[in-house]
Amino acid sequence: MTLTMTLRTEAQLNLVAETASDLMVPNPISLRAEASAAEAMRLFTEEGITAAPVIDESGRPVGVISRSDLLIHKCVEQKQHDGEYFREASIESVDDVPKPMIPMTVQELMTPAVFAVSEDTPVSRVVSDMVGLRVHRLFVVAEDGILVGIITTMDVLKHLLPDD
Amino acid sequence: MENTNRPLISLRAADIMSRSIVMIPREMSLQGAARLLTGAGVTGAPVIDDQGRCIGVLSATDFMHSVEAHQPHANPSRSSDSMPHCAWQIPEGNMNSCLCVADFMTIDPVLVGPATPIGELARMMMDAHIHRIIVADMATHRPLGIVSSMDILAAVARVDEVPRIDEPECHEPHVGVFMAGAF
Repeated sequence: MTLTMTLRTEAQLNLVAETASDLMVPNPISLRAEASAAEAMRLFTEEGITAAPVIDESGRPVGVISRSDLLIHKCVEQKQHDGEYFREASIESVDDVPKPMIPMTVQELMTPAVFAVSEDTPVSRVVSDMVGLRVHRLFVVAEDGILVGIITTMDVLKHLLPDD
Repeated sequence: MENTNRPLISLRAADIMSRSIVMIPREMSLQGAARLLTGAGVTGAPVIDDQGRCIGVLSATDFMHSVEAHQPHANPSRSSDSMPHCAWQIPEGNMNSCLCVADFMTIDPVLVGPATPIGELARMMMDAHIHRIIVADMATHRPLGIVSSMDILAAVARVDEVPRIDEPECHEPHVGVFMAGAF
């Protein structure tokens, strides 16, 4: 038996969806955990996005990385770079040569928290989870844990609009 | 937000808005605004002029734009523990403290009256791609509250659930918080 639920509203305002799979945007643009910060920034710029899920090699979500995370990293990197520059100016022996900076990976910069629902989660539960957890996006995962979609608060509002 | 059992369609902005709002004077520095927002635990707020009228909105996105517009200048005297850990910390020590809120706020904010229906609020958020709308006295443009997309979802969550099938199977949804590294 299929679980089908809807939220009762007036006729003019319905949440026209039954499960998480109806609300989600499928196959979201994702980043591999081992991708570099530069690769992430390039993807954000090319795709015009401000955040992306981070997945492991099997496609399971392991975190979220945002443009803010990358910009903060950029600030830190700039400080380190300038610090090395000033240190280099006072080098007295070859042993004091600064070590090159190692590029950071997405996994090191992301927020390692995953809020996920399954594809058949009722919309009522999706909404109550977003409100209860105070998060603006939920991952949707298949039975094997593979990321299959994302639901944002905007996706819920999209389905709440009057059904003319 | 008022606790109400009224039908969703009958709810207005005044019913679901947050009345406790932080307001930022347009002349305030970005650093001052960052401290104000951090202290209040919010990610955006209306910007007001000297008459108390809402003339803009300052959000985390605006702060990130300010960072992009002004590349960080390292200060060798600052220790590594002063590195930024969140968006609000970026302006501090990295930017010219003379930068004002008015230079980076989003102008022409979306304002609505307190009687605006919830469906209209949702549509406006979708059309303008924004997560919050300022509720204001439309005669004076003075802010009365803020409605966020989360406030609308909270109103939806309060609506009764009506199963279409009498005996639905009970699938426990796969919901949880997993911390990477815990596996």
